[in-house]
Amino acid sequence: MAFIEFKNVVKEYRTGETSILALNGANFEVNKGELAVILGSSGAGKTTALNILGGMDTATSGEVLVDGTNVSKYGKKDLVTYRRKDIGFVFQFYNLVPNLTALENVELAAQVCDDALDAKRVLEQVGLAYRMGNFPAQLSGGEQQRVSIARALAKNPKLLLCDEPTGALDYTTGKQILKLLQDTCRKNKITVIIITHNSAIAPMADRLIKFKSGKVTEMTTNDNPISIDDIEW
Amino acid sequence: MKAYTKDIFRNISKGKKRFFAIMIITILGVTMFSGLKASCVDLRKSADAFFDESNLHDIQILSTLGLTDEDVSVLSKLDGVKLAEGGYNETVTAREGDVEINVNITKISDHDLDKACLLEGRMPENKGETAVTNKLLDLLSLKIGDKLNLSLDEDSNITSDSFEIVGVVIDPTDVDNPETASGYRGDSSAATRAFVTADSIDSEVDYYTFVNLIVDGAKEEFCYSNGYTSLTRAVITDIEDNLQSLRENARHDEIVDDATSEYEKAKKEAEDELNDALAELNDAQKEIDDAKAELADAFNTLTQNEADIENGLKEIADKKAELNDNLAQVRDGIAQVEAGIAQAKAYGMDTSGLEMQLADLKTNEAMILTGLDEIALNEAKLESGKAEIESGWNDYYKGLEDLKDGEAELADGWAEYNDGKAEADKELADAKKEIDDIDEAVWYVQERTALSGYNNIQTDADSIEVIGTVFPVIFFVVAILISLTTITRMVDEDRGLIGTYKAIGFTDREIRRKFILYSAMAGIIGAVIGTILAYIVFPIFLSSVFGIMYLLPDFILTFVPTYGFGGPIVFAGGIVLATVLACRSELSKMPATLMRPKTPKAGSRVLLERIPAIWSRMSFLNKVTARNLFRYKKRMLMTILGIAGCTALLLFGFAIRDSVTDLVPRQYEETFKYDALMVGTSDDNEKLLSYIEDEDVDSYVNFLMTQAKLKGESGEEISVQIVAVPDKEEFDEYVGMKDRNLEDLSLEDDEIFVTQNASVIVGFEEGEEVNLQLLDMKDADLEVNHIIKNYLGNYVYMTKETYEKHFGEYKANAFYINLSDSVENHAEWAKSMDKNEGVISCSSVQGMKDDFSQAFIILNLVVYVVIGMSAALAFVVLFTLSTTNISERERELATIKVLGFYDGEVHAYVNKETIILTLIGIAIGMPLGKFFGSTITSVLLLPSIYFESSLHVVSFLLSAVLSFVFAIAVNFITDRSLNKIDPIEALKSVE
Repeated sequence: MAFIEFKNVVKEYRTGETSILALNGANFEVNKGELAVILGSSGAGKTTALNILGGMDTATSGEVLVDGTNVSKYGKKDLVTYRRKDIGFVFQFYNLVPNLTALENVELAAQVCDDALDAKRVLEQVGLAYRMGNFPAQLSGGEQQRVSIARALAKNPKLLLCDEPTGALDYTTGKQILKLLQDTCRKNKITVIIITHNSAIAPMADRLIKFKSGKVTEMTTNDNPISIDDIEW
Repeated sequence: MKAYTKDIFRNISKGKKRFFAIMIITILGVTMFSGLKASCVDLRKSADAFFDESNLHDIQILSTLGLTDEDVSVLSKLDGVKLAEGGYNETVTAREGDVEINVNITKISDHDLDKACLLEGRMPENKGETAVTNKLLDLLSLKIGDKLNLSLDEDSNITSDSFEIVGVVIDPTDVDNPETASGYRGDSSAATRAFVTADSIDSEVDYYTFVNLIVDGAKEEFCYSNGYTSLTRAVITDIEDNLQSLRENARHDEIVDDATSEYEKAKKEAEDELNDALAELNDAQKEIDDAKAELADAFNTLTQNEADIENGLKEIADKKAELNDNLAQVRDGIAQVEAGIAQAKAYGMDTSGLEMQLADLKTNEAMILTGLDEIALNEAKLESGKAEIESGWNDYYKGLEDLKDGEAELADGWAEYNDGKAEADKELADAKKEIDDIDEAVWYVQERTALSGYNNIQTDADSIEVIGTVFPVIFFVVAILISLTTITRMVDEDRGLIGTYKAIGFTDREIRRKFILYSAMAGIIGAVIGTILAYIVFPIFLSSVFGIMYLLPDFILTFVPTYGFGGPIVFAGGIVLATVLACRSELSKMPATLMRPKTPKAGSRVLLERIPAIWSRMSFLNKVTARNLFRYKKRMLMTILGIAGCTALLLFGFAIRDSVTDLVPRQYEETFKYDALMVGTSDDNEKLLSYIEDEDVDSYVNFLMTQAKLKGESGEEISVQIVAVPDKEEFDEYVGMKDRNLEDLSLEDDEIFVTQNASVIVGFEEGEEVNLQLLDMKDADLEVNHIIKNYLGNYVYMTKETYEKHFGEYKANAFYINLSDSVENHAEWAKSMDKNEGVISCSSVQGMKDDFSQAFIILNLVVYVVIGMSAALAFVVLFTLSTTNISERERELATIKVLGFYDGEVHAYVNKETIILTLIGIAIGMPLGKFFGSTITSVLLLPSIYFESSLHVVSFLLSAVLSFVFAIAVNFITDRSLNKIDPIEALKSVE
């Protein structure tokens, strides 16, 4: 029994007559403590899958099992609890609260969590010790993303889901972020799933899941993942 | 502080404009609501406090036959009556210079009931001192220290006709300020009171003209509340059901008994006197008869005696003659004998025989001489008897004369007696009739509402309260709409953020809290400020106005929890509720959906497109405008409704003002066609006539005008003026009478016409019966034949015949006058007439028109306040909607900026829509406002004024223009926001 199980998940969007299937029976699994990378071109259904996995959206049909629990059967309230306690999400466009400083943004996440980590420590861990009092508008893209990650990490989640975390970042910064994610996975033993359409980073993953047209076309495990430092593209 | 909370506060400081919009609307609404209601409460409370302190009577009982100590004691024993006290007052005429007024001299209560409030000087302590009201001082141009000169009737019980004014007071039973034209508002012609001590009233007076009752527990109650009314009504019902007829009959019987015993007494006295007189007369008659008899006897006796004496004398004369004859004979004889003797002697014959003869003859002679002496004696006796008879005759004649005099006297005496008797009989008969005519005693049990000042305060407060309820409702609705709009906009903007929060794991409630706190703070701060304004500013403002209308010594500012807390709770609560509603749809979505950008609204084709003739001619930008108008339907609706509401409110405010201003021409040109009205007492009617028969006067009509109370079946009553006209034909040129359908009417016998306001207030229709009661308590039940249009005051019109039929003697006392064209200044003319003796009042229509504005200070102010607030409302609504509009379409606007639109063109892009919507809003607001305006009659319900709603064309124009001006003003402000849109920031995309 894998830590995460996606079973035949279908996500349909209906507007009047038209029906769009964002996910058309996706199946994959991720084990605990793995670093999984989801690859696929635009519109393949990667974000949809991650959203469903993260409790941010509901599947039309199919099952999503996380640590034995069927998340797809959760009602709204349970989803909130699920998101609160078990999930840490990192968005492509950071989605920081513009009115709060970096520190406060992280504290925000810590507020909802019982066993949160110390916000300051986490920020220091992501290397933003000197930027804690700055507002997002005063931070660069990379710094913002790091705050976002810190926010997700502070919650001490079971699952860290990252939707194209380096999409808006340059090569060097992106690499730094990925390193951070990889280290977190290894050190803190958190299950990390990263969505990307950059196939070059596939070697860093323990598991590679390929999406196409709403389905998982390929799922491979990598017993020897390479450190991101060693990957160039 | 938690990070989340920090976010909330920073949110507020970022969105200041919106925050203030919500706050201001709340302030306006709460101020209106609490302020107006607080003012009413304050007015009533101030009145209540004053009345409590003055121990104003709760119930007053009047009787057509006066009231007695026993009445008082029976009343005081009633359940619920704390104190019953009898009092005395009398209406007399006071005169100073040319002015004559009625003054009600009132004895100061021993228990301090209806206590006057001392303003200056002191209360009277001695006989001949009085304390009066400012009204009296003004009317008679007197001041403290002057003398008040009264003209008292014969049967007056006031012991002095001149009083020194030692103090100025406020009379709690008459708190109308005489300076405001309260003539429209009811009983301002009621006599003003002057307070005197008990010794200024004749101590022999054994009855009371009124009895004041203080009801248990009434003081603790608030005098205009239901609690108070139920307490007093309970006592009144008790009196009416159980006591009234008993006491009325008792009093009636008492008076009848008193009168009857007096009558009996007088009758007996008269009878005794008459009987005595009769006896005397009879005695006199007897005496005269006796005298007559005596005289008759005397006459007889005298005549008899005279005859006797005559006979006697005759006899004597005869006897004398006889005797003299005899004597002569005897003497002859003697002579013969002597001669014989001598001869004999000569002859020496025996003379003895002759001597014997001689001796006999001499004896005879002696006898005859004695006889003659006797006769002489008798004659003398008889002569003296004759003399006696002479004096006897004198006495007799004298007696006869005396008898004549005596008889004449007696005849006079009889005449007098008869006259006296006749008079006495007549008087007794009259007295008996009067006793029989003694009316049944009728009691009039009155509550405080019979006092005009008391009533007017209630009415004013009620009117304002209505306005204070209606308007805030409108404000409330607008406030809710604004909040909805603003919060929805905020939620929209924070869409992604909400998604993030949700993703982090915040619950719906926690997220909602952010917005609720935002709007709640705006609402609560607004409500607090609004409450402060309401409780401090409003009452001060209105109290200065009330101070002009009423003579209350103090105005109390109170905090009424219901309104003080109610207003804020309702507004703030409503806003919070609106917020919750606004959040609902967004919060129900999944985080993923929220973090995706919203699907732009599908464009739709406009109806106008189907008309190619127009569509193809429109410029591109106009086409865009057309499409945009219908794209955001909700906003379109809200703008239109908001503007319509404001226009309607403005119109309503103007309607109040127009209705008030129109009262003048309607009343004084259409209804009262006369130029002047002169009123006096019926006794002075001739005097008044003499003043009028003047070249200044073209025509006039002499009629009866008197005050009365009209009571309907509902029990409601109102003060009216009865106008009874002698000649119905010529009356038309003085008073225009139209029924409510504007059809002309003319008065007929046996009909009464009543003015429309009375019918609304008292609640009766044509064909129903009402009771009219005059000041002297005479009353009659009459059917209302027609209800006529009238706007100021209330009148009941009837013909002389009708009046006489129901109320008795018709004594004209008033004149409607049409002045000739040569009189330029009617007001001056009327004033000069007013000074004449006998004239109680003379007023010109022109003069009244000029004074008119005074009476409506409150209403005019309310109108301006309303208009001001409507303006503010319009402003806030437009502002919020415009701001929302712009922030919603930021990308669109940024895009056209990028494309190269000049600032002016960007403004036009937005403003065109606003203006079109404003125009539509105004167009809808007009009929809406007209409708609101038509409700004025029922909103502003004053007893003496009928507000026929009217709206001038000018008002419509003004409202439209004002709304439009606001729209333009708001546009200017939003133009600045438009300029601030930075295309780059605005166009930054999420994806």
